Amino acid sequence: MTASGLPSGWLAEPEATRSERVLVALSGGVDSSVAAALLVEAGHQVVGVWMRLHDAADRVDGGRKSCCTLDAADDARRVADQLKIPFHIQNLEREFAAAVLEPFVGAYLGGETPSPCVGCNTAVKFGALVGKGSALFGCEAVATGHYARRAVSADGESWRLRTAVDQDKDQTYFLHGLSSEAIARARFPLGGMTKSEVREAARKRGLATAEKPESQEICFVPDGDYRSLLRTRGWEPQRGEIVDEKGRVVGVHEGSAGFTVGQRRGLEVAGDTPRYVSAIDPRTNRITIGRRESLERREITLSGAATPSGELPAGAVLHGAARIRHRGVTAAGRLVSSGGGIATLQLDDPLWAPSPGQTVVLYEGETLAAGGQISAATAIHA
Amino acid sequence: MRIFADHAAGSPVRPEVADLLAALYREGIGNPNGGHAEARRARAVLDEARANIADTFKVESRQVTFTASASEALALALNSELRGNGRLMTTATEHRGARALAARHEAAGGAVELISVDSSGAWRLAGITPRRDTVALLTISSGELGTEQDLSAIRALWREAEGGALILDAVQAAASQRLHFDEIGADHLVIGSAKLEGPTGIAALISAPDRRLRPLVAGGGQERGRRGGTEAVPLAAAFAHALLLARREREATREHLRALSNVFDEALGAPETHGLRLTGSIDRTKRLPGHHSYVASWALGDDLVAALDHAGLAISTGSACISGSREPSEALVACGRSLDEARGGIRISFGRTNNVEEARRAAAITAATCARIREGVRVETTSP
Repeated sequence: MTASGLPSGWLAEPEATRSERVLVALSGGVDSSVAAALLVEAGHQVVGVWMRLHDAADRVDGGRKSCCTLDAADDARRVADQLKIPFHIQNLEREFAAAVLEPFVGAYLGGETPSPCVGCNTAVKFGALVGKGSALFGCEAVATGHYARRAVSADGESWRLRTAVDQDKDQTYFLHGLSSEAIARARFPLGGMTKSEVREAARKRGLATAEKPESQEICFVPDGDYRSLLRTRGWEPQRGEIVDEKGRVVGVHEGSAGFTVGQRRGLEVAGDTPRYVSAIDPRTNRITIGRRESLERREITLSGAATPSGELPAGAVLHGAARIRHRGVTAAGRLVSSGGGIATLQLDDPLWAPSPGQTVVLYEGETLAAGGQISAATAIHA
Repeated sequence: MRIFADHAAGSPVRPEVADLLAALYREGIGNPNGGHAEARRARAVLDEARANIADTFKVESRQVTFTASASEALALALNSELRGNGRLMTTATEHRGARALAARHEAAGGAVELISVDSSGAWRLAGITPRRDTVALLTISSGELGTEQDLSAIRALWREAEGGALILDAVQAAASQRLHFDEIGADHLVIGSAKLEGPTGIAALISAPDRRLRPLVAGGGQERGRRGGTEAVPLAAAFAHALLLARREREATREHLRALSNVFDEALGAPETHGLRLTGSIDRTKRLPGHHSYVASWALGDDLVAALDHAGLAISTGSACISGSREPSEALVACGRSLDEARGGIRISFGRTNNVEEARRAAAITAATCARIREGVRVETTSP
């Protein structure tokens, strides 16, 4: 490992040496605004787009902090105007529905916890949008306001994500699905900056979005109530049993899709010690709960395990620090591949409440070496 | 150099008109209602504007009511003619503003009947039997498809059946056709300034002498009590001037636009070679001059517009929609296009100020852009 935190054989991304034609995904927030400004100042030919991803865009903002309302599109347009770059609205509803909305609903109905931002980054922003940017505008790269950096192999052939300088804002977890080719075409102008530096940069340039508050919610669930979204998608909540780890019925719930592993809120069960959802079985509509410590795991099963360069061969072992939540704690361990995307994560220290469906990533130094999804097997074999 | 070929959406204000507008504002033209010389001067300018517009359509000045937009003029006509439970007859190819008015009427319990269209967007009037109380709201030349309709047929049909009020939208048509109000046989005619190289924010409703207008905005008795609100005198004068110039140059402009269309068509070649299908009438004499419209099944109209914009050609989809929505164009669906095609409509519309070289380059840009996007689509759908 080098002093920079890069594993041997990996180099920091080189500075661009020529003017590139870059598509910037402007959300209408401060981060992507500054990302666009920095690219313009660096001499690149920048095209701004705002993605229309779902019909929540038709609703009036109402002061909410979502990036997907028409008010947000107006803010993005104003910034593009300030930067004197072309601006277009791009419709990616169909791609978003297939890669994000449907899996999101399917995950909850299947007792899993979805990772909508991962699907959006992989398939929409650094998938379909890259294709559109190239076909419509001849853009060779797509830039976003994500806090992430890139690393390139010494031979220049492979790319990995590298954590952002601002550890609190690092978003590599959500970007883990990007392939080496996708990372090669991605630009993250904010990777070397802290959030407060970005805010200051926006103020200094007088950008229209400089004082805009952070958006925290899932963009297509602007009121934070994903259960009502599930209802519009055909979910009919069925009352079911809550059991403890010995299988004793300790309460009832109003629909298992309304819970995720690790959840405490909404459990109406007697007892002094706090209880958490430890497993959800959608087939029996039964929720299992347990004490906090019973949700700790040293072994997690993964599906879809892969490095940016592709699937891991059977028998491959990667060492690193694992993370199962955005900004969550990391635990040292190794990822052992069984091939076919199936792998086992063996941890030195336990991680709490791994939830089937959620994303797992493994960092090697500052680089993101591999990622995958927690598979249902984790809960069953716990 | 960029090419502006979206004249059907509104042409830039022509310099003579902009000069007049600026001169009137500088002169201090204001409220025409008052007992002083300044108000009388403003009134005189307004009267002259109204008289000029009246003369173009061969009506009396009192038949002309100024509004702030063509949409408002349409709404004013409907508000005057259509009762809550009345019958409204219109087409699925009407522009969004007209369709919204029809939808509102239907939602309020009124009846709406649609005249169907053929594949070129021309009205199918066979079997249409208006009743005495049927109010028709129809566009003479659709901005989206460019199809010029058979006015004599609708006039004959309406007269024979003694139908109710006939409201015609002539916003696009007024630039290229001679429209004498009595010859058309309409009860109300809507005209606007923006498509005549005049300013936006001003339009007018021309009404038959026997029609009584029910104001949408009650006010201080302006426009003979038909529309509250101080008259925008410089805008009205600029509108009248733009109309006068357009009328004077009508034949020359029509010829010029025909020539541009020929150059464009020839340079583009068969639309199919670029993955495009022509919409509207194949017969160029039945289209607005300078108007070209196509559909692509392999791209969204908005995406084509964005890509062409990037390549330096300003055009539009032709159907005003919510930005970036995937809604198919209802007009294209009504003409029998598939949903994918109806999402991929584009319109190229030349204006007086375009030249032959621009028409040729517009065709080359369109061809090259379509080729690049189709290649991208091909790669995307064949890669693993």
